[in-house]
Amino acid sequence: MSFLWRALATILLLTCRQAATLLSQAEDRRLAAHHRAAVAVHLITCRSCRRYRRQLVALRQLLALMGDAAPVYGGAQRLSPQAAARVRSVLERRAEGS
Amino acid sequence: MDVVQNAPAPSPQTAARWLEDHGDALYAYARARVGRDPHIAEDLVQEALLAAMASANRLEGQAAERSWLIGILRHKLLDHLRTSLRERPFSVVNARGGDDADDADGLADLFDRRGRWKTPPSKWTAATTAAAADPHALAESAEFKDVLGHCLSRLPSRMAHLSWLRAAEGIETRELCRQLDVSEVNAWTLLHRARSRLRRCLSLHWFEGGKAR
Repeated sequence: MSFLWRALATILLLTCRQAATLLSQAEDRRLAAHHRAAVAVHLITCRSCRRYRRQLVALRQLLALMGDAAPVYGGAQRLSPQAAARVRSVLERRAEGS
Repeated sequence: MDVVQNAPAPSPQTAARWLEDHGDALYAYARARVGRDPHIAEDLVQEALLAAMASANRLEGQAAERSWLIGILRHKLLDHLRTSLRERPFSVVNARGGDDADDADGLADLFDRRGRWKTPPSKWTAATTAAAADPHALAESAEFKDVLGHCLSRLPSRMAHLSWLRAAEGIETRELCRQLDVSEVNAWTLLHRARSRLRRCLSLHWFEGGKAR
């Protein structure tokens, strides 16, 4: 019985902040039944969280599609000539050593 | 593509040609995943090429050779991320209060004290038209990549690592936690923070910034 009350309280008292956390976790694992119910009820009445969920899905799709075409964290995308020279000399030494 | 098994040790010329042909691609791959320090990416390229020289099997043909080298680099990269995440362990954060009970999920900037949105998510006009209808087109837009790169670069590097491995490489969270030696609770927390910030940054700089198309 106390489980039911707890579940009911979770469902009725869920804040947007908790809903957002659960929506994010739902991307990573299957939520517990009372959490799934709580989120479903919350989404019926909360437009902002519905939007948040849609945008999480869009974000996941976009990141997945970027795949190997990864954006670079600023700066050059090429090995600098100095770095290339350094790597080349390491490779040469290794090749001679073997 | 030909698999050369038990190949003889590559000549210095072969290794130099790998560097010549694929060095920039390998570097760009590593750089996009390790964050701002160029030296880490350079070292990873070097380690990957050394490992490639020591490998008994290799692929020939330009494209096959590149994906073979990237595969080796990817292993080196995961090793690096694992070590760097372990060196600076995650602070213990969980739903029942962590290092700061009022801000266990680190999202106090997004929600008020009663757990309501401070700034509710705004409508993504471009998302409903472009991303929902054709995410491929958006993902291929160079301008969008710049904005996403900017937003990723503003995340703390561990968050960026995790969300990248999770979303772009499609590694399951459980597997990611095993590989990186972090608890699932910590991973969920970090991923949630990362997603919230990325979402907000993209909202501000792309979907509302007058760039919607």
